[in-house]
Amino acid sequence: MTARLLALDLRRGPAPLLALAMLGLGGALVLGAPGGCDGRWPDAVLALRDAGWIVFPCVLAAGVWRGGSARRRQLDDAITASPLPAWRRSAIEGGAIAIAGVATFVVLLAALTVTGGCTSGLLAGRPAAAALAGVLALLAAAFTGLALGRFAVTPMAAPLALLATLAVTFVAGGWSGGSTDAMLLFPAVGEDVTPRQLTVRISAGQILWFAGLAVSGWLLASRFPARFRLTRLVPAAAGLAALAALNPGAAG
Amino acid sequence: MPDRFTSAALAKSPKSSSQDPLAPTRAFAVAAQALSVRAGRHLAVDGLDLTLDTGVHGLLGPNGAGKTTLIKALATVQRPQAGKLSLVGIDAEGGDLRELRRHVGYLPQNFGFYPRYTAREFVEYLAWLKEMPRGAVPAAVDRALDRVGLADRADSRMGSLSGGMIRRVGIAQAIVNDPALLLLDEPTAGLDPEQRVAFRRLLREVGRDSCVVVSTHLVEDVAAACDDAVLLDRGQLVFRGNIGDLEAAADGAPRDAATSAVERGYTALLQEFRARAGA
Repeated sequence: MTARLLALDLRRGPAPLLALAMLGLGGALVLGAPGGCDGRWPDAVLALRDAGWIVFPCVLAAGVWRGGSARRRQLDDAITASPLPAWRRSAIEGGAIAIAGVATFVVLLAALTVTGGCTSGLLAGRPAAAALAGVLALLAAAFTGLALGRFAVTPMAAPLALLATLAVTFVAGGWSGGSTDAMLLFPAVGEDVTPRQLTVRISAGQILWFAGLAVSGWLLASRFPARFRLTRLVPAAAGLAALAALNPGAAG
Repeated sequence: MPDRFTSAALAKSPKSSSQDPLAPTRAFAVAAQALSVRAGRHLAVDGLDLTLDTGVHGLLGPNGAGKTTLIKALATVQRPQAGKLSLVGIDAEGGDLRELRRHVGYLPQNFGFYPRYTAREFVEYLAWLKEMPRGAVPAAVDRALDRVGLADRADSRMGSLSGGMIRRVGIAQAIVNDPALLLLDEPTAGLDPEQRVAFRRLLREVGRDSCVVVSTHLVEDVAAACDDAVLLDRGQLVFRGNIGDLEAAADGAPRDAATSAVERGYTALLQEFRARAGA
């Protein structure tokens, strides 16, 4: 049942459009970048992570769109009357967005690795952890977007979320001299970061933060359980605490 | 006939619907006692006592009578403010809501859809949400679409269907799980006369072994397809009886060539209720 619902959502939901947009935007940024990866896989991972400044908001916006679609389409009553638990429906809807995002990330990384001959240091621990953090960031974006969409059902919510996330990423990004510590909250790593700087410790903190954010997003999107509203934020708070503990100076 | 409204522990469901709703060995498809439901701040259903069993029941009433709010409460979309509500033998408040919902079919008044889905995919989507057994879904979807006369449009995108066809897809999704309790809110809105006749036939067919509650403004639909009628006004029960009783209520009311006996009975009962309430 879950597989069939997921297949329907992947085919008819915003997932195909998201994958196309990510391939277009991410592909243009990563594959079209001058210099490429100089044969080093860690550089390929870094290039892809840096494309997160546009990819992350796209996935989040797709989540917002999907999260509000049932109410926007006046389907919420029929869905509420169905027995499938809200947490499972949210897992399927967010899962479809996440699958599209993660699959595109993997395809782009593979394409960059093959076309750029970025095989030196292939699957080494440090870049592999950085890649995993990138994947979890997309998962977090999908479920956070889904949760936002449940509360903001206007069709403008998705484009507004896209613009707002882009703006926040730029402000936090340090491109204009801002703090790079704040960038640890986002998948993008900033232009000046080298693979050596992106340590396993940093990636582990980011992995925990993004995983916590994804779980909180999923709980919020499921509105489950209603009487423990604030506890839904506990996973994100725990992830943030882990990020801060592993990287003193981050997230603040 | 196996009792569709109770667990195996409960007694077989008799046809009559005038018994004590709280009798311990008896389960109705719908048993409401002193039921109150809010629509926003407004008390839309006010202390309603009602039992419904197998058959087709027409839910009538003027705008704002509380029909849609009552249907939403029966569909477990809206929680009651007060009173007791048991559906298909399960307590709607403290019972197994998930199990209860597996036995309910519901067509909301404002029924939306995803335009990129085909009719078949859309009914299938809702069948999955109803947690139907995996192997039963494809045949059940085809059968439901066939019963509403949309077998030939099953692979058309929802966005390309007419308003009447979309309503029929809505009916198809409501009946796809062969529900013990079928709730239809304004099901004939947008249907042409031929489709309405076919729909009434479908109602009678489903009502043979299910409890069907049809909320409508169209008194003639109730007269043609329903076993009995429930008339609401201001959230309260005005009348409950068969169509003959509704027609009989017209006795003494001024005759008008443009109105049927059922419509005159409906109007007379409402006026009498309001006069009593105002007195």
